[in-house]
Amino acid sequence: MEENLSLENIISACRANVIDILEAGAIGHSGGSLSILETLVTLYYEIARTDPKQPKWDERDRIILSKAHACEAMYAVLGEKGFFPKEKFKEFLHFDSMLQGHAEICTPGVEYSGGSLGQGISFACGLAYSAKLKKKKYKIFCILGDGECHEGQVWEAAMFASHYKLDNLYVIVDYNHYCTLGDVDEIMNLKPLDEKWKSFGWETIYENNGNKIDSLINDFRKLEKISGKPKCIIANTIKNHGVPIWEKEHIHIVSGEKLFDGIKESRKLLKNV
Amino acid sequence: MYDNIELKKMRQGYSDALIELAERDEKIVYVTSDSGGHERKWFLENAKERLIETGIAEANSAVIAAALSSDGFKPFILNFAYLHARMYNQISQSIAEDSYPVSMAGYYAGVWGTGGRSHNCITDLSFMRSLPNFHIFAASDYWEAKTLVRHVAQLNKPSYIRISGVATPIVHKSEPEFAPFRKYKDGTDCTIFCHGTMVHESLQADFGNDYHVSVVNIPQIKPLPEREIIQEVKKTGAAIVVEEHSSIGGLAESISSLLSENPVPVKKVCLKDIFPVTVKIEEKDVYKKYGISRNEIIGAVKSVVKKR
Repeated sequence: MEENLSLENIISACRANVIDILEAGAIGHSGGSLSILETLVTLYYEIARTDPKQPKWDERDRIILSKAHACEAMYAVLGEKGFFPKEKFKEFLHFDSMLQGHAEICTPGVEYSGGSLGQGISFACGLAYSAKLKKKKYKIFCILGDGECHEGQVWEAAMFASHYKLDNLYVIVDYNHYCTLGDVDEIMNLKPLDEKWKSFGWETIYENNGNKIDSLINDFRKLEKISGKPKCIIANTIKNHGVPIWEKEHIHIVSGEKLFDGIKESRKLLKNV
Repeated sequence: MYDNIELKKMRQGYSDALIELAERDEKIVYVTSDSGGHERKWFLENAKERLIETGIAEANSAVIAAALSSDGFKPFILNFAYLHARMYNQISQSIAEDSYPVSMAGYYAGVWGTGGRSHNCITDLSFMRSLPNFHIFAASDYWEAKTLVRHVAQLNKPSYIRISGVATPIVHKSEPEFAPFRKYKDGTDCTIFCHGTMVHESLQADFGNDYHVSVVNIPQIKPLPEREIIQEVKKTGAAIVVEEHSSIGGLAESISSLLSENPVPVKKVCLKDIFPVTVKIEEKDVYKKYGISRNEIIGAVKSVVKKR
């Protein structure tokens, strides 16, 4: 329990990092970044084996951010973990910065250069297949957006992983319920999303508390015991989690006055924590 | 296509070379989408785990190959040339951006084939050339297809080889050494730059003693062997570019662009901006019908020499 209290502190620190990064860029994907912070902290601090001092360590677990627009969260956690100095946050979106507008491999710790959706899961499948070929034990984790599941390629990859029984592959779908222009299921209905993954041959857990670290840890522990098939957690999350005025509006990209208001609110809340 | 000359598929050259390489190099993997021929059979029978079948999911195949490449394998992908357009965003983001050395090849490039407008692709060089980090090649016959496969296997860059889908005339007596610029005839009046099937067609153009013409195959479309091309046209003072490709975005446009800074008269002998229809291999005078036969080559040389 004490350990998880400590993880909660790390989440607060990472949320503060996201705010600093957004402020530096004056624009950014607040919604999908803040919805996956708990997932990333769970992975980097509890589940996955990584080493910030050796980002290319051969035995590391690979974490692929398929929804690469949520790069602010990735940078926040990688910086907190020590993959690069947090002073770099100030350079977000600056010309030729190592912190680009979508996660790219120029940032230490980032494993895949994304942007166009639906491809990160294929890359994760390729890495999982490669690990099997090399008889390596490391795992591949891939974070998908819910709207990203509209992409046909996601399901090409889902079939592939199941066909080759890639049990070293874990997908976490960030079901924050909103894509750019509205409710994801009104834009194009995904339901029943867990049944879809199950029908593609994935061991699937629908996690109602997708922003709770303990719940996510339990899910990963359960899935670790499963062999012979790929694994999926549908994480029911809140877009812009932790910044109430952005949560209310389900903001996707924030800038201008709304950015300013959210930064102010968030810093006030974090101060109280 | 032609009577009484030796024809052989470039596709076979690709297959033969890939099998020879894969027998010796366990890093070579073959990513297929319900596609492939002899080489697929070889992998299936001899190295099943290195045959990565994605089903008819080309977009997935391109990114799977990128990941394998990022992890130290040497992935090869062979598919219809036109399907590289279907994979284009995947090739761009997942292969080209980070310069992962995936070796791609596209067949049924050109006007031949019973697939019709959807399958006979004459725009592949145009869209593949636009990708930063990619090296682009075109095979002129069975033997050069082998050469190019061997070349890309050790290149350590993302690459695309253009090959015809049908049996085509043999140009070389055996497998040549790789060269980005390959001259067969040395002339003084004009240079014919060509690639692919148009190498044979250009060599068949009979100028008698009227014109002394260089015939140069450019198997490396990108990066263009600029220095050699400029040296060549300085000598002859005129050029035509012949290709079984759209006049938009292929070698002709690339050389025209280069020569705009080093001006000599240039004429294109290319396909028009069209979708080519179904063409069976038995069809006669196909290149004539499309305006890229040896007759048009001779006409273009005559016209361009006058402008010197």
